Amino acid sequence: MLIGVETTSRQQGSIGLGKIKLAITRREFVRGLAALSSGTMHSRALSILHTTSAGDGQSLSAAGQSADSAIVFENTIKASKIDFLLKNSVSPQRYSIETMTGGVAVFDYNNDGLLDIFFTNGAEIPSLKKSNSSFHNKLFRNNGDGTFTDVTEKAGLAGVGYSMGVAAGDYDNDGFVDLYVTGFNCNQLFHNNGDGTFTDSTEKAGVSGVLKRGKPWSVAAGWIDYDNDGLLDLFVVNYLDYSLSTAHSCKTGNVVDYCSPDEYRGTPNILYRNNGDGTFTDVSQQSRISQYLGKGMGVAFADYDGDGFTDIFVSNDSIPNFLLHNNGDGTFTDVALRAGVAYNENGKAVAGMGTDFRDIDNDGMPDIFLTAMYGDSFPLYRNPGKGQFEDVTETTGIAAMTSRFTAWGTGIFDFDNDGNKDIFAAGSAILDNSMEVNHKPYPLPNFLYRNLGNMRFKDVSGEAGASFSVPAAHRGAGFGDLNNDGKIDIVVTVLNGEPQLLMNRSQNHNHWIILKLVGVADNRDGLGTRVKITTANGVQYNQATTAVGYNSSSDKRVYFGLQNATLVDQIELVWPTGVKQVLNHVMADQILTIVQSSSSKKSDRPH
Amino acid sequence: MIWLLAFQLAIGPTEHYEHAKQDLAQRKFSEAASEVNAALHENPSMVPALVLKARLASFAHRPDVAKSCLITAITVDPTSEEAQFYLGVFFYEQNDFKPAISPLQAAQKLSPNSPLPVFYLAMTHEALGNQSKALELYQQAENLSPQISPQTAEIAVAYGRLLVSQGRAQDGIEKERRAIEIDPKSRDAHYVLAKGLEQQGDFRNAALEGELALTLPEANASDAEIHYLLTRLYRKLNKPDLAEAHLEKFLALKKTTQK
Repeated sequence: MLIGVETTSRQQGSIGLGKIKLAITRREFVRGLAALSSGTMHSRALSILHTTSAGDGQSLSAAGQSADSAIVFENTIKASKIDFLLKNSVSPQRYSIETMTGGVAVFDYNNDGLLDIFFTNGAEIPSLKKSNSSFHNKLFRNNGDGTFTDVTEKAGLAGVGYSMGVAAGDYDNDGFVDLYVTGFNCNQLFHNNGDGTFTDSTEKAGVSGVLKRGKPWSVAAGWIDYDNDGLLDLFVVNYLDYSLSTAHSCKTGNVVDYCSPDEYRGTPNILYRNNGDGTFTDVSQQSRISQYLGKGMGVAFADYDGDGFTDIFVSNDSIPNFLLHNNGDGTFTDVALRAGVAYNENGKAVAGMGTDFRDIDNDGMPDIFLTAMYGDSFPLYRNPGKGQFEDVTETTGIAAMTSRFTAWGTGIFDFDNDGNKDIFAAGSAILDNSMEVNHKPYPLPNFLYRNLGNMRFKDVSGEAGASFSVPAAHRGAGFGDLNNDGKIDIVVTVLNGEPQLLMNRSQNHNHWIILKLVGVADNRDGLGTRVKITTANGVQYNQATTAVGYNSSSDKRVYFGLQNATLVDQIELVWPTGVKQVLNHVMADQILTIVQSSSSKKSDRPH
Repeated sequence: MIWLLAFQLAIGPTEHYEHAKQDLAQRKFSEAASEVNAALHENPSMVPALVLKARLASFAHRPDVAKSCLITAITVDPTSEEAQFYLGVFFYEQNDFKPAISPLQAAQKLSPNSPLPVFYLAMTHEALGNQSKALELYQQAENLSPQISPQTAEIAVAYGRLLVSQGRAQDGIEKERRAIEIDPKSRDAHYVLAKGLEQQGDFRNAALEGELALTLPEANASDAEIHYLLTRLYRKLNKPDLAEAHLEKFLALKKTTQK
């Protein structure tokens, strides 16, 4: 069986520095020293300074790391040279759209192995035009040395209209990741030409997001192969039936305020099926997606019932969430109520914001987490199988840690590579006059909840570095390993502020593996592929997706933290078309490219 | 006429105040308001009357009047435990939790053996998310509360609810059982007990408690919440018909609320 495998592995070897053994290449060592001297704190350089062997007096635990070593991030936005200000054009009328922009995509646009960053931006109000470059969406190329270069102009990604979110995915399987940008008045599909430029292919593709009644307010989107035909389809999340010309003012007392979503009707979401020729067909009606009117904020995908078809979770604002079960015949059914994920455990619809849909307890069943508003708590629903979720918000400690906060962007990732996925949430109240109206602060810090591995979480925000104690109007968050050191970094947008580039500086000796999937029969990005790994420490599950959090798109690569395991005994992949692929005895601490093998068996059963 | 006028004038502010209190106890709000206004007309600095007027204003959804009266009362007499306490309660009920702390602490100092200021402080800290502090204060309030009283039951219910929300099911259950011993008709106690039992996996008894809660007078726990809980419990107990029945009731109540 031919398995196309490329590895970006680190050559093990000792570099004669006394008893220190360094698991890096010479090239990385030199790069790290250069970064140190230039002031950008390359984490690999840091680990050189801190790595010791057992003979040096500092003994390591049997797990190969200090058991309670903190998860630490450093905000390197200044050193990154990213020059971006998220402008929302606050108006005296306080139009609802002003609170909602701030999407970010973390993706490799030029296939150089480094993750680049794309930010959405607002526009002038009430014209809704990006009247000057300060309103442009922006693409920053990762230079590989901690700095980024603005390549927006060359790329042609400035955009039009009041942009909201972004979804990254290679819809034409040409090997270059494309972008879909959602907006209040305009959605755009940008085809990646593979030469550093993008072309607005919205009209050609037929994905403008305009419905018979007009253009609804699109907030988020995600790429999903819902029919397992090897092509990425597009799901667009729409929010309120809202127009600037007819929007009314809301007040609390004498204070002009942003209106509650209760003041407006919901809108249907859109499903575009990829025809494989650069065009899409709006199948919202035949898929039954459009019969569900929502006030969608976030979307995440996973096959929650293991039937081989990817399902969709939509977090709705102040109305029940949707869990759209993929029936496998081109249609979807909302089963959120029966599955126990429509409401929180008190039967209340929360102000759902961002969401992620991932296996948090390593039982093979993807679980659901969403951020919400203060007073709600952020619901965590555990999936024990059989189509029913359990609300474990209280028993896991999440309720106690979140009930007094509001948060937006979120992601479930193993930030310390200990084998348990943690949770990040980007904090901020909704109203910029929150103190006046609600007696609560507007800017909030970010939050980090460490998974203790026993269905309990601990708030470790206070130990996560100075950047976690800085309150701001955070919005979207994109996740990915920006410097390929095996640790997941986070890019967070801030309304009327510069973004945060949170580089993961966690100091531990945990091992890791990152899988870059390349579909052949399946979509090129491998989105929707379910992955199971087995190590000496047990099994873990994850899936390839870019739809994570609020308005944002994360790295498509699949991440696993391995704790002290230096070998992955087995990697099992189930691609959306049903192809099953197995790799055995894979070394840890590498970014492994796995090309879908044409001779792999189609799986009879999804798991 | 002169005699009548003289007679009215002879009723001093204290008597007007006492009449107002009696009227309030009998829920004669208009009469109470007239009497308390009469008291304050004669003595604008009469602290008990100011506090009573504030309470009446709160019932009448006039928070501006309530706040003004209470602040005047505290300015006149900062050592009035009643004024400090009700100012704290006022802020709490306005969801303005931070300003509630100082007057409640003052009330606590002025009346160290009274459980009420401590109870409200506990709820305020809970609302602010200071859960450890809230737990400590609930315990203090419990310690100060007479063995068997409606207050004790209320404190136990709130304390238990916080414990259950933290995943401390057993501790929460003990509090709710205590509340039920004192006040068997406490809907909230039965509801929170049901939730605690659910956390422990005792779905059968949780369902029994939930069903009982539904029969009791509505309090903080709404019918919708209880039906939703029962839906979940009956699903776990493999009783789909009962689950469905409660789900329908839950949805019907949701629709009514939305209208």
